Amino acid sequence: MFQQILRWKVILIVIVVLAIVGTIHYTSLPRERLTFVEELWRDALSPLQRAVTRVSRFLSRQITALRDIRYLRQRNEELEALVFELQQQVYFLKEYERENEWLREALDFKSDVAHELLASEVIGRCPTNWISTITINKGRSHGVEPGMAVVTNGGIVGTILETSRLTSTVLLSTDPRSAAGGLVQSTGDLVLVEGDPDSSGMLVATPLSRDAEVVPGDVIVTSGLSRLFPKKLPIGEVIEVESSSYGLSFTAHVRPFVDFTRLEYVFVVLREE
Amino acid sequence: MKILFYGLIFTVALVLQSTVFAVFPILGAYPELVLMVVIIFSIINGGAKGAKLGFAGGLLQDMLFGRLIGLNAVVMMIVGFGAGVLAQRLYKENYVIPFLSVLLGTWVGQFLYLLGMMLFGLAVPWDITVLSVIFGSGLYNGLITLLVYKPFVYLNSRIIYWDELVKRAG
Repeated sequence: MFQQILRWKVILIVIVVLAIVGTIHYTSLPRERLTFVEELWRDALSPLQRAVTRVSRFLSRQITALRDIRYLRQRNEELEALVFELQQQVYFLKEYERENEWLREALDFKSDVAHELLASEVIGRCPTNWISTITINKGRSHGVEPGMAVVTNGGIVGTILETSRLTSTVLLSTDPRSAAGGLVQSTGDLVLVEGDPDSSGMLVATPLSRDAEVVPGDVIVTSGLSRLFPKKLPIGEVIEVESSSYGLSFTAHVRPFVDFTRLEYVFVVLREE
Repeated sequence: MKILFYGLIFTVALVLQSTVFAVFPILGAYPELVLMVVIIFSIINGGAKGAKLGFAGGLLQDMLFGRLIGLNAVVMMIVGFGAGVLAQRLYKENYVIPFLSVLLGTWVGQFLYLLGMMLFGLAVPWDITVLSVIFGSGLYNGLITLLVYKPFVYLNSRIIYWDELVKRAG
């Protein structure tokens, strides 16, 4: 009798262990769709996350405001001067833009594709320390699909990893599993930009052609070749270039322009029709 | 009935972990609040209950995260069981044992999780950044424990009391 119970227990434990190992393995790869239970859990938590995020953001803003008030006055004067200067430049650039458009038309160039952007609020981040994702409050019902690009006015943020009905997770461009096509602004050389596996919050750029050149201080922008990201969005600034063992290639360490810890609103780039 | 209370506490921990604490990293690390809750309840209630709560809390976190579902469940079950068995016979009325349990438990848990990630084929760069994040998240959890340990002891006794009331009422 006792042995029989023991035998059943052993069989049960083996089945449970196999089931867990199977589930972990199955979910170790990116999936097309989440299960119903997961979606329900995410959608149920999203209003809570959103509320708590808003309250904490409000409080931290109040604290910073109190601390910075004297500094802000001085900064304001500086910025006003800067705005005046930049305004002058904008007039110049407008002139160039008009000229550029006219020349493009003359040469019959196709103008850049306009992308439709969906504004979304950041409501949370990944609950573990080991993978860099954020959660936004727009999901499948708003037309968001896995693989879409996510940007801010400061630059690229990442790509959509998974969607539930009301939320999506975004894999940040600084995650080692993330990649985007880039362009060195000064030379026009193409590079591949990936998350730096060795230092969190940083990017690495590797050249796609052999004669590409990059120096510290260069700005990397999106190439737009994949049609995933809009063209010429800023990605980051090169801070260090490391040549590989035989000097044939190099790796550039890039600091992203976007401050990922302070993201509040982002835009999802919806696919062109 | 108890399930509801514990579920609620885990939900609050998970929401806070993915929102408020996302803003204030220490040494590049964020706290693992669910793991902290598991360890605290384990050292109060013992290993068997710690293992059950660990499995449940870990699974809830896994489902929100969506990758390697079940890994946190197993890791937290092991840590919950271990912390409960080791700390059950120790004197827990001051802050020393809770702090050390959560500190060490978080380090062990994070290490096991990374080991699991490697086993299932996800790249883990074992370098100073990873070590600093493991160290930092343990420290973060430990410091928060100093603030919440006494309230949790009270909460735990209330949950047991309410559960008893509901049971007697039938």
